[in-house]
Amino acid sequence: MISSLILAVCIGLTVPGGFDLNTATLHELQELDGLDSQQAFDLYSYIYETGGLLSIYDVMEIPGFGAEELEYLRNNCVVVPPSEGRISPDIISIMERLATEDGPGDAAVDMWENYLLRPIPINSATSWQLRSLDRVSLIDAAAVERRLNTLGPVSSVYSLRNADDLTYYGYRNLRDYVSVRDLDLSSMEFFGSYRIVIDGGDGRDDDEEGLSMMLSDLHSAICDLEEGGRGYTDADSIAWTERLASEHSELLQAVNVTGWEHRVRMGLGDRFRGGARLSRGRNSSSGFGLFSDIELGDLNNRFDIAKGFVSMENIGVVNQVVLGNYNISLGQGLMIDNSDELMYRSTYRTWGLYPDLTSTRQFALMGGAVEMRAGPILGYGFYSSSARDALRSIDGTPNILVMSTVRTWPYADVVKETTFGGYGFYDFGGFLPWGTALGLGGMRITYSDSIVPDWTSMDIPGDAQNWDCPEYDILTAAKTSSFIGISAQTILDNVSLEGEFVRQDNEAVAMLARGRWQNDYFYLLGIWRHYDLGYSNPYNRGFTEQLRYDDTVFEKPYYLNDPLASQLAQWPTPKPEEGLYIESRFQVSRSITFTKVYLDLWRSIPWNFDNHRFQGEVEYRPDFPVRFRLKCKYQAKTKMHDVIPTTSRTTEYTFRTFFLPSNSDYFDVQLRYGMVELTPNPRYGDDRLMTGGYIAVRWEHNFSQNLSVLGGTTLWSTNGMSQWEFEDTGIDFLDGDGTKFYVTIKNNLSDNLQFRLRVLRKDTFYPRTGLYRPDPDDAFYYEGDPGSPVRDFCDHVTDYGIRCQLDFRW
Amino acid sequence: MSIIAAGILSLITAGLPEVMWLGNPVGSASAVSHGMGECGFMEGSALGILENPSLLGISEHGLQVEFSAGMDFFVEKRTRRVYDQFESSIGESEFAFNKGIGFFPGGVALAVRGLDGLPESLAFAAGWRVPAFYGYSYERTVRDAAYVITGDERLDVSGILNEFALAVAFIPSDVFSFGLAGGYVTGSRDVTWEVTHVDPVLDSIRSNRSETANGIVTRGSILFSPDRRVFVSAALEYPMPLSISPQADGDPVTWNVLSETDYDLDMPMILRLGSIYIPGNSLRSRFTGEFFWSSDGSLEFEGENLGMKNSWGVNAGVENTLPGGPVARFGFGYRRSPLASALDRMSFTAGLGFCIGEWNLDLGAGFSPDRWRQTEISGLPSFVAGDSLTVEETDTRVMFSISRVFDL
Repeated sequence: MISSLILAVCIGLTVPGGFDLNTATLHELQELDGLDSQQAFDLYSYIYETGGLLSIYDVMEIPGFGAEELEYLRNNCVVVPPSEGRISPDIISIMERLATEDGPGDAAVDMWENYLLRPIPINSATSWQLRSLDRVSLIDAAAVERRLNTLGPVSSVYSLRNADDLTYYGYRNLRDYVSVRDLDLSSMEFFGSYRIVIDGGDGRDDDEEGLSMMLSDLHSAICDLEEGGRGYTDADSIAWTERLASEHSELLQAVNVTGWEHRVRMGLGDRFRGGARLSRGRNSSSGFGLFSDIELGDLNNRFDIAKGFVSMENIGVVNQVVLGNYNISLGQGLMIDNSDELMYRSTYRTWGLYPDLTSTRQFALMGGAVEMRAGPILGYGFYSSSARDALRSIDGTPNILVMSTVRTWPYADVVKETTFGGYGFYDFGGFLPWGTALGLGGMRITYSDSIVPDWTSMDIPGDAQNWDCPEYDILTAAKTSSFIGISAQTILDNVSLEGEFVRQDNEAVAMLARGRWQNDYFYLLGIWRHYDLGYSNPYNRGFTEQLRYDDTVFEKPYYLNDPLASQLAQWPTPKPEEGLYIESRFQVSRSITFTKVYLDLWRSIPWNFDNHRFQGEVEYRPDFPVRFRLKCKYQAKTKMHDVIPTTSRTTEYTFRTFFLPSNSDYFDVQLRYGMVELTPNPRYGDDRLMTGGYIAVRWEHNFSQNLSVLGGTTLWSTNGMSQWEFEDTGIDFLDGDGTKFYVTIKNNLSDNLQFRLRVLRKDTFYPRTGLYRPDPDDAFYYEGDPGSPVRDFCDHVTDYGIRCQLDFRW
Repeated sequence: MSIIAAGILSLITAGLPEVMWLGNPVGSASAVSHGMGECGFMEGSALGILENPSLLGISEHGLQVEFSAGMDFFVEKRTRRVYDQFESSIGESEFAFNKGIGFFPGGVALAVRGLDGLPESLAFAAGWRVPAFYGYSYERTVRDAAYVITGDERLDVSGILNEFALAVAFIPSDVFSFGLAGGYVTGSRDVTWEVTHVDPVLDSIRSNRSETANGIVTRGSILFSPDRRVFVSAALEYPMPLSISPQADGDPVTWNVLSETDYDLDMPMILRLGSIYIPGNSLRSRFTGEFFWSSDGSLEFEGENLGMKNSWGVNAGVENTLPGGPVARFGFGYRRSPLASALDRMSFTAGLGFCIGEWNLDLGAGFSPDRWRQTEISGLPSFVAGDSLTVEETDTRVMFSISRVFDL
């Protein structure tokens, strides 16, 4: 009580005498002469429900309390405001932002969240650690390292603000993840989090690679087979029919399956980390076994991904050792980066070794990995043994690895992959400019069975399509592949130069060099890359414009023996290409900024087609709460198409405005229109023009620091040019004509508990006209009623999504 | 068509009730919990107490009364898949479109705690609630190949199940309370199927079936409060078999030629767990989470297992007092179907609460989409031969409740 009074008096919020209302019992409040028993109960309830009074004046919020009660309480009681939580609202807000991110940074997001709760001790940080943080460039990381090594430790993170060559953007992005605390290796503070996500709803999942399309493609292929129109031998025909029918039946089990995710992470001081994940994706199949050779009964039917890890940190020269699932991304990602998503033109990559609880399955590394630092040498070693999905030839031979979006028995866990390797870096910092290093690494991948590419198992023998896919045809039968790579980096004031060269044992190479020049108002980034046609490293995530099997036959399920082989089009490694990418940002004045301007000139190596893409975006900010952005994009790309190449010319305009009508509201309106022009092709006859566009509006209202509601709506119309829209939690595919709306509620109930709920409705309309066919063999028909003539109709697809996420932290 | 209404048809058609027979469950009887993800089990209002009597341990002292009612807006679309000459699907063509609005009572209840003459450790509640109702209308205009109207099909299902319940709780301390409740369930269901033809040569069909149901349900629950901000409760609901008395008349269509003999239907035992967490923040938040498990897998009809799976579900909801405004609620629910995974269902709910003098007026709304193919679920009645229809439905439900606590 005395300490409370002292504190209360010190902070000047109370008057002398009395007891603290926030800690008073109901009985004590009922003893007060100035309040009747109902008022005492209401005051007690208010304090209980709100967590405490911030000042004595808060009692005026309680119904039935007026000036008289306030005066009485002022004279007889004190208020000691409740102490702030362990996690500040700012940190919660960053966690909220990170929680919405998925994909390439997923593993790193886990690590960043750990850093938010237990920041990196900045005075012992290295540029290697700092560059792993969200959007902190190598120049920024090296600037901090140089500052610490030349001028000594800092007493506050803010002191870094004046470090030479550290941009404000870099400083702003790293400041939340670092502190001036000392590494406390004796601490046994237990912290962690548990997350549960339920992702469901109902709908047709009609996206390009959606389940509904797969089922439709399989149905079509099965009917085609039954009619004997594919030119197979009798044996092959029976075998393919059985396989496709089995796949169709399995995929039906995945329709409208609700996604579940349980994820727990724990830590003990600065030494130990652990975590586990059990999940099943929405509309995904399961039952393939969570772990190879381990029978887990019904768990195998309920979930399709199980991951876990334990890690130890700061043990002598060992910075980190991870046992279980881990994610590793080194150099420029040409040799090893095992995330499962490759974002086009992504210039930011996570760097380093992380425990892995992401949804990655096909590229999950399971085994052990270590990061060591001895003087100027930083070394990484890793070993993994894990099952991999692969397409099989009709005789059962593994044909090519595939990343299945929906798994089926014929292709699940076909081969076991053993991967091991290491990468060492010699840090010349101090002797040469800080951030200068040279690296050397190697990796070997071995499969339990030889993978034998065989295009005849992909191509329908009796169709009119010629098989031509150099990206596939270059692959040779192999059981192992090895890679050796070197990398280098240096910083010259505010310019960084980096590069990596990797050679595969088939003599194919991948090379990438990048340079960046930056200051507070400007940066210029240049990336040159070259990937040989034969460079087939599944862990290559280098900068690229296209995926390896983009613009190939694998984009067309109806040209393939098994339509599900078209999932290879999502294989997340770069296309064999060579090109130069230049990107810049330039703040001309306080109100005008070229937010992102880039030009990519690249050659598609398989066919030697030259392509280019340009995008320019300018922002005008006449006043702080209002911003306008205009973006123009132009792209010319050529692809091989039935003997004669086809060139597409894409033009797209986007106008966007953001404004803040009040401190608690945020509006965002976006208008986009695009068109694609195709050059003449025998397939299409004349020139063909496709168009599409949308208007999207979002509004977020913050009722308080801990409760916000975000609502959005989009209207779109397309004529052949489908659209991709970035929503608040992901990318959505827009086709046909339609409209959608969504609402997201974010509620931070306390430091420990956060609740996020999202609901979406999407209506898409596809007018189907001209369906009359006089020839019965050429006619459209209704399933279950083939005799009735089909009339024109409008296919109205309604999709619902309901997603609930609960985070509990301690 | 609601899967549950469809189940009723199934029950009376094939005689093998492979689907649920209790109609559209009202779920949470109070608009407060309806807006919080239908967390009715942990709702301490008078109507909620009938479902979880141990919540009397945290109910307000005095006489608490509550009345609730709701409206159900149901939209259903039946479609047929259309294929091109390459056997590729080009989309789904609408076959029938139904929508309807139904009103239903939620119930009325009172709870008493702190009554003079009664021990402080005893409290009780009584009331009438509606655990489920039947409401479905299907109508389709039949056309021939030339698009000429040839007739009309219509199905109507209506009815209600009532429960008259009594609850009592023993509250030995602030940490524990124990509750018992019992209810008498009674209600009826009417089904009418009508087919008319434009051509007078063809006979029209009209068939009716009415059924009455009676039964007893018992509940026991416990409430534990390990911390002043945390409440945990567990309950077991054990129903007796439901006695059904059917009556059929009209044309003898296939589904309505069963005998009119009375029969008993097993009801599932339900285990419920729930918790309330009051974090104590400026929004005066309240978080509620629930889980239930139902023994559908062990149910039998005339000695035969019904072939269903045990089912379970989770619900979660949050209540916040908006600065200077009303109480806002939102939540979600998820329920695994005892029949097929295609029928698993999620719902999204939201609600508002207002204080008008001494009275509390609460509104809650929720919607729940569903989509399945007729071929995925056995036991459903078909509307066309070789039925492979896709059924898309959205059930939107709005509830209001009014409540007040009177001093004793």
